[in-house]
Amino acid sequence: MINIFLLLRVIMEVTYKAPKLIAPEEEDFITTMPDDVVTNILDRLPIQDAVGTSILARNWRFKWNMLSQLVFDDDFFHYLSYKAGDTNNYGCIISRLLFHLNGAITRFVLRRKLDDENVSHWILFLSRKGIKDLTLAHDGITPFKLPTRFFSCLEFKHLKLYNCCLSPPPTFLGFPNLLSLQLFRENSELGEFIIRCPLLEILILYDSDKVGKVKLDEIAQLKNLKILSFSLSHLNTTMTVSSYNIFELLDSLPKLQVLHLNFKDYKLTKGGAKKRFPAAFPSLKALKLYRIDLCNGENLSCAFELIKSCPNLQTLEILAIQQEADPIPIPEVEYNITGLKSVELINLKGSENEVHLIKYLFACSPLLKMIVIRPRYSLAPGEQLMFARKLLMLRRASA
Amino acid sequence: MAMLKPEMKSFIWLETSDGLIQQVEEEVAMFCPMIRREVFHKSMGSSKNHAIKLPDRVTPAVLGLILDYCRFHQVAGRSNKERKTFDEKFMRLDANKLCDLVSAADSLQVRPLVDLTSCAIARMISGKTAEEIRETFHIADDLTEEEKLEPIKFKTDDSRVRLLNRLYARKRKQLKAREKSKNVEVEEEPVEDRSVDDLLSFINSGDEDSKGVKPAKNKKRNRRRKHHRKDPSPNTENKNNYKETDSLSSSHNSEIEDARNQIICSELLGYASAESDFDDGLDPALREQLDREVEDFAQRLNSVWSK
Repeated sequence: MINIFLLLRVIMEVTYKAPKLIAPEEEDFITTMPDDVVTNILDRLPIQDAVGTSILARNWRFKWNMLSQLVFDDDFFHYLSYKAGDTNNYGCIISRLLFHLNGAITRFVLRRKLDDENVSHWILFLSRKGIKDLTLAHDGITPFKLPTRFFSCLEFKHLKLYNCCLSPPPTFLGFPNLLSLQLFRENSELGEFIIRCPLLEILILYDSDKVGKVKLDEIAQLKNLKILSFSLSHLNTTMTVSSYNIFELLDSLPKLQVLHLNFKDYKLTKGGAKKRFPAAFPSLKALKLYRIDLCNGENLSCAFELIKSCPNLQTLEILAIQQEADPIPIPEVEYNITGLKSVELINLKGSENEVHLIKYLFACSPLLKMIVIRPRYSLAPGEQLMFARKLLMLRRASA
Repeated sequence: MAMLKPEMKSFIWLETSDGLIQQVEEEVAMFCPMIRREVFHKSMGSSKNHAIKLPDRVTPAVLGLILDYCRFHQVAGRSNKERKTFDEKFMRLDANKLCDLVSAADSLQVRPLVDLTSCAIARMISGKTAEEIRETFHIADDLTEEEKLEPIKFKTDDSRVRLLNRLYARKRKQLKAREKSKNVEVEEEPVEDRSVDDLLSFINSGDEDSKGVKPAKNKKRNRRRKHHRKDPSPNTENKNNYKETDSLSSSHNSEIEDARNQIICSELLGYASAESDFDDGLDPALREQLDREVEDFAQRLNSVWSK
């Protein structure tokens, strides 16, 4: 008899529930949605939450099997470390997860160094599931060598490969659908690779010590490029770069809207034929010059030329360094109107050249809404004050 | 009919699932690809008799919402900030309306609205426990305890479910043991309503045990008390006592780690291996840990053990 009371208690204490009798008008909202809508929603959840929906109700048990976007990032691994502990199991856990997935997988992000073999197997699996967007990023010491299978996934649209080793097999004909490529710490000969991806719109080569080798004219073949970011150190080192080369590149990329150029302490060489490029570059909207030494004559005039020949330029960012001891005489520049809306100049020293540039910008940019000037960190307060005073004295075209 | 006044807009006729026919400004309605297709390819919607029949999911109320969205966004001159602010306000709906909205928007193929609403729904789901999600969306909880306990990858939402998982496995181990040594009385429990009976028989078997080995129980309890004093696990995140593995792992040695990993692995693999692992791989400390948890759980029930 005591057991009956216990039974009652058990029922109340333990969260056992008889299936709720839902009145017809109060019917479940979410379960009646079409499958692709549900998949769309689950895709936006962190993986652990998406998988967790399997205990909501009977017909939710396998809804997560249609997940099409898998993101294994820091949040996920933090969660795993809290639940599963031993890091050696992570590969296992992900593999098991992959087994359950039924539908196409279009996006896969992995931001952790896991066992190379596992990753290779996953790439093989994904290649059969229509993978379009792949991010492999880790900060291990040895780069990950991409398996041959990787190069036969012709549906790739977006690739972010950090610390991987791209060595395509001889039969590789390129990724015909590739729209964006971001590489970090990539060592191999990139030129061959990128010229085989004709639709490429975004090419970002992150600066790093280990450099890939690419030629300017190889980049120039990517006629669809909209966003380009690379460092001069990425270029084939047998070539020295002059501003002529840069303008040549811009000329051959008619759709380019954003250019980030990392000078990486290089100095542009003089010369190349002093051909004046007649056309402006109307498509360029944003320009970022990183680690450029404005005390160097070539660099400075290149900067001026770029600003002048891009009438639709809206954003300008310059991170300056100061290497050269004696600034050269300031070149004469014609003033014309720019369309600049926002300018950011960082790490300036307040030298004559820099002030000259700022003066030009002030005078020629009637649309200027925002200008941020950050002086060099190590500048003494006295120098800072002088710099500021010089700036305030400049004539401004904008309101 | 009617003279075309210069400022007269053109309208599209739409029929919703309940038969209600209404007319909507053309540029607003054409924001929906599905309606656009009907107009261009099938020449529908130009008059009341040829109203475009909207999919079932589109009720008048939700159509109103969708048209509000279209009306705002089809104006080209709005800034991104304005659109974002509108979207945020627009999403302040309850779960019911959001679900209706996303289904209807999907059938009308208004992709940006589908994405926006899906995001909002995902935000409602993310980070909540299963119970809370069921609450929000009125999902009937029709899984039996058994099904809930079936190890689901690495996520069991409720800590109690996880504990029940272990209790269940342990109970089955006990049953097997009893099967070997004693007669088959215990086996004859009705199988249909398993979940409640499982727990009940667990309590029953617990009863038996306690009667049989009372001195041992006390010893276990003393040990538990001692352990509690000895092991203040500093880096725990327990919400309750039952986050066993996490709270106690820090103070145990690597043997426990391995055993614990085995349990996690077995959770991931499924029942089959779990049992054998439990039978073979448990070392005394871990078994003790389990006993402790069971006792805690029983304490919470204000139940059997104290008899």
